[in-house]
Amino acid sequence: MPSADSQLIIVCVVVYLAICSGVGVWAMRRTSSTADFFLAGKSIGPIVLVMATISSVMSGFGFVGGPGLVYESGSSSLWMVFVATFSLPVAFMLTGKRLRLLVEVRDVLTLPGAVGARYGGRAPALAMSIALILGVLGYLGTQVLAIGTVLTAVLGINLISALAIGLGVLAFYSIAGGIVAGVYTDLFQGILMLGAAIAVLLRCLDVGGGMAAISETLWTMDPEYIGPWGTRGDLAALSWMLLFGIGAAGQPHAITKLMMLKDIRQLKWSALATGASYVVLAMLWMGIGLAMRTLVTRGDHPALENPDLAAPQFLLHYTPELLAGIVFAGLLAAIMSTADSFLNLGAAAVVRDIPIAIRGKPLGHELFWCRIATGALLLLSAVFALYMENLIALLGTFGWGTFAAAIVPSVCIGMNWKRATGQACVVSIVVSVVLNFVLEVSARHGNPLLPPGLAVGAVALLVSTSVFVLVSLATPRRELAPDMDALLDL
Amino acid sequence: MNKTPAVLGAAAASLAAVAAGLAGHALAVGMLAVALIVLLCMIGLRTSRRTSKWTILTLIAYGAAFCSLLALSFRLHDPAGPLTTIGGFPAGTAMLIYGIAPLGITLGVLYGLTFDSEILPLEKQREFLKRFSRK
Repeated sequence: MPSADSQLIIVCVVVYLAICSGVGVWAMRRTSSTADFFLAGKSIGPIVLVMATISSVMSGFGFVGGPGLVYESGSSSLWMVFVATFSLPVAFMLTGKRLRLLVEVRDVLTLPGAVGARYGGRAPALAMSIALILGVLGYLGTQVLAIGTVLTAVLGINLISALAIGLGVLAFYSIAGGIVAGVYTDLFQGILMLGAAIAVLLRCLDVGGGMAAISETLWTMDPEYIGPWGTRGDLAALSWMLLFGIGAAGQPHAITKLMMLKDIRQLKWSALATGASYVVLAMLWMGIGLAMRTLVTRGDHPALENPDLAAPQFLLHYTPELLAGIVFAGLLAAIMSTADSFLNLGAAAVVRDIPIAIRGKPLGHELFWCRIATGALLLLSAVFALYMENLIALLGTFGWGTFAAAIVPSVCIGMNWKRATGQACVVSIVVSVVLNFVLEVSARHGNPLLPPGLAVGAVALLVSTSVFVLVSLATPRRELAPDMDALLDL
Repeated sequence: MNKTPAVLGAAAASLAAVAAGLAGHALAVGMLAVALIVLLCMIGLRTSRRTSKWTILTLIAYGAAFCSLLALSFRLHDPAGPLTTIGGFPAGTAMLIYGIAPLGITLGVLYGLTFDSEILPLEKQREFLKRFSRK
């Protein structure tokens, strides 16, 4: 990543870090229980819900990896993001009202807690907790690495110093303020990024000479690149559509936000607003990737050594300093927002979900241990990111697919279908983790088990869904508790 | 409300999509993904006898329009021919940008419009919380 010499960019990033710290101090005063720490005291409004959801889903990958994917393979990855108009409403339809109402009738603060309440017994919640921790470690490691990379570039310091600054701020606000700090920094970040995404798209069109001129240049270079499927082909594009269109409902950092809403009636228009807002952010993903490829094709910019340089190069060379500074701050914001959500999920799994699954009750002094676990997870992921980069890359890659395959059947279908059983939940979660891991490892070692282009996560999602349904029908149905029975009837 | 038929449909669509993917049939994967999305919406939305036929018809119409746009993306993409643009994008790509993406808003609008009457009527919510709330 190139280094930014602009004082204005540095000022934007430093101001952003200061605001995060300020929110941490404010949130600390509002966090006095585990319900505050994990669910923001069920106090957030619809605007915060929308911004927190899109900010945590649009991670650093969205702002660096996304434009890089478009630069590298054209339209292929647009099928990941332009499906958000329906994928996020589908998530609301499948989980919104039941997860939120469950919080009112049971002592449920987390997704494994919801699974435990739905199926009874300890195995389903334990299986969900383990799947969550695996995904969380992968996602956290990649986010930690991204924080270090961005701050190294912007501040011109070495990786260790960059990590110390970035993780120091993240640790402060996530340990002190839990998810309260997380969602309110998300609000600030989301608004910032929505404005920046529109401004950057307009700049991309301006630099490229308008969309028709961009298309003309890229069509001449390679019609497949700007065609509907991109250079990765139709199977990759459409299996990504499936994985991201349906799998969004299985992303724990998105759907746990629904449990935090103050008034359940506010779900009403939030589904529409969340999907539409996310697509606005996707303009940045598409715009930068296409504009940079156009500039390189026309010979106006040297070819990039690495596709992930598309966003930083464009921002540093083709946008006004203030806009570049805001987007760099927003980039850092997106990464930290996702990291914060996963820290919270991981801490919940370690301190609450696994102890409840094993011994039937959470740890004593839960809030204290939540804060310790948050810090420990951050430290662990920093060590992983610095010394086990290959493992992080692997876990990061299979994160979305594993969450989708593990959570869509067991939570999204299970919370709507009375015939679903705990055994099916456990089996489908095991299948999702194993299948994702085996297919991903075999592909990475040059022995792909799937046809070229077919997304590993999509196959895992489809197989785990089928397994969940078949095992549910093959195993005895357990009598539901009256509250759960009524909840599934609603 | 018996949701088993819709769930079985989702499982069948999933298995068929795996088979289509392994055989390399991209359009079939896309169509089956749309079927799965519509079935999941039905699983999520349908509750007791409140779900109106208009909701079901809207979901079916949404699925049909989505599949048509996918098919058009294939049909309009001709890499050997001259560039034809719609709103600045090649015609096939424009089906995603100006068709499939805005069409998705239908589901968000449907959720909003049916929230009070079908998804969670206020009296049902009150009744449920009165019976089971911990407060």
